[in-house]
Amino acid sequence: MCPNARPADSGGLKPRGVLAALLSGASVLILVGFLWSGFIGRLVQALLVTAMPVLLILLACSSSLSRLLLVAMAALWSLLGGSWAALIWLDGQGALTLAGIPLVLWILIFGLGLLPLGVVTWAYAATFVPNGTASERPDRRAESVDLAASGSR
Amino acid sequence: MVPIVEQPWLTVASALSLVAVLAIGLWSGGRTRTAKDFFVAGRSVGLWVIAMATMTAAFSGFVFLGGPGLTYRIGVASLFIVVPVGFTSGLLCWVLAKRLRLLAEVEEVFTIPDALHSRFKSQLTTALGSVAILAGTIGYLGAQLLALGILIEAILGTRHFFGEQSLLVAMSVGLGTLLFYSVIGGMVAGVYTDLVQGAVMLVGSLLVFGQTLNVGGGIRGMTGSILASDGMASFFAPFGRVSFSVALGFFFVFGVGVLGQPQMIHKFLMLKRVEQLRWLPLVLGGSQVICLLIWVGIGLAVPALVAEGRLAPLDNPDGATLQFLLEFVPDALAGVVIAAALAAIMSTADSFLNIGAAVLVRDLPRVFGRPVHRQLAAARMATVFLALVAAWLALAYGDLIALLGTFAFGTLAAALAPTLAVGMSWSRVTPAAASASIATGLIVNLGLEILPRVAALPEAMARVVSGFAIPSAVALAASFAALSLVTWLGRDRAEELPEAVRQIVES
Repeated sequence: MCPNARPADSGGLKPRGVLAALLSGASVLILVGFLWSGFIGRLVQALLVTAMPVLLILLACSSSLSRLLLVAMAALWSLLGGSWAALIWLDGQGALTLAGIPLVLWILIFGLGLLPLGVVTWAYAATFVPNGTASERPDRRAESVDLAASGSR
Repeated sequence: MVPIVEQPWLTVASALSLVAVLAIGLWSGGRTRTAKDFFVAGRSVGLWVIAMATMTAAFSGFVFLGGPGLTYRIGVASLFIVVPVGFTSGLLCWVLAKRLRLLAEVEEVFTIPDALHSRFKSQLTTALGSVAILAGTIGYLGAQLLALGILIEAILGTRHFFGEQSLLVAMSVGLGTLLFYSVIGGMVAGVYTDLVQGAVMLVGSLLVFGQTLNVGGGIRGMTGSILASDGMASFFAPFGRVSFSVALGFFFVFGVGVLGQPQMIHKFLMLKRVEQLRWLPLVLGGSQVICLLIWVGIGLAVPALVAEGRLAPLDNPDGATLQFLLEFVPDALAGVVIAAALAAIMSTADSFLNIGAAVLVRDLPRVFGRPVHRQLAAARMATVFLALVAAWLALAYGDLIALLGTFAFGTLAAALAPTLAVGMSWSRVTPAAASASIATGLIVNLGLEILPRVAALPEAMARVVSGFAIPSAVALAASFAALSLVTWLGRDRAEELPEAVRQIVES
């Protein structure tokens, strides 16, 4: 469930259907793409794979897409996709270093690891709304669920 | 195996670790009175415990013992397995955590197959999900028990006393401890031992990372030594010593595949209050990063020491961690790390014991229309049964179990991630689509993993299979594709869902 409870517009484009269609297309292309090669083929494949977590998060939040979330997801895809693009470009370039440490290690640890962690933890906490639409209604049913559970002791 | 028994600190630290989990088992026994307590710890667990339990369930002994060795073997490409932790904690929380937790409030959801049943109302989907979890459980559990036996054998030096029966004795010691707290305390014991085990893992990782920096001359010193070595030229190649497809496959399976790992997502059903989720990505992701310092630290230190001639090249890369601990780490600290490795193995194993027992006494019986009424007693018996079966399989078919263990993560990922991730977010996904996706994930993954090992494939087919590089990645993509295809071709039946469930899915 998307933690941001702001309701989406009722009319116009349905984001859920669009995101599901994008996810479907990406999964089919990733499947086919395992047989691709060459710089462009690798790049497209990497961009599709890095788009998957972003699309899944957006699909989960499609009823309440806020600008903050969209910006965070754009940043996340840029970091992941950009890091993979850089790694593909660096393949065969020799051991480039930055401050004495291999550039590849910088990209792996910061581009794919620590910076995305900063983006998602910040964005999740910033968009989290505890009293989401469903969180109050089911609470009232918890007692009956507990009673049902006691039957299976 | 290195004679760890000659290092008393290692034995003492490991023994203390085992005693601590036994004490927690005793304490939690009095708090486990219902099936709800046994399977979801009474749904009364706070943020820190959930985060640590999720982290320890995700990180098995492989992080401590196998990861650094893998880095020695394939270079920085091994990091593609672990760097997805940068986004997986957020992915899990956005996509599954809150929905699963809310679903547990509107219906009686103690397990992941329970959640599948609530969402899809399909016996076939629930049955396939249960079978996938059972297959993954046997593989994971067998591999963990085997690792537990091997580690305890080294710690206690049982080979010296028991010869051929050594592994059996060592595994019995580990299994006895594991069963004691898992049977008595169920998930209550599971999550609280995970908290202690997680703390040991974090402390061990941090201290060893500091020691690797000290021994290797900092990150720059270690990388400089590796770069200067002729024999390690490919270590820092962008994809290390593997192909691009393998590296991307690692990233895909370990990044998106976390959504299908029951040992992790089952923990979300135990959270006391939904509000606590706000900081879960931070605590979970942060603890994962700290724990992985040992992978990076020893992964860089060992090849650097070999490059400098301070350590002989390793015959068996899997011994990288033990070699470093025994030669470059003070005894007391090495003891903490061995205790941490034991903790990592046991915490993953106890999660799978609970999940597997639930499949046997709750999920599958319901599918066949024969629900078990005394679930608490049955679950305790099933835990023992499952542990003994997994241990027997591990001893009798060690190679097969080790193989199953290596691709159990991928099996669960391919079978369950698309159905749970997309199905919980999109009400149009039908039971037929979910069943097709789970079946596709299972068949493609097991087929691509096992077929080339047991049958001589025609040359053309073998070329295609080997071209896929990572079977789990192909299976995961195929599973997503199957889910999408059957969903788009099928009729939208969202209106047939119970109103409360539909609201959770569409919210």
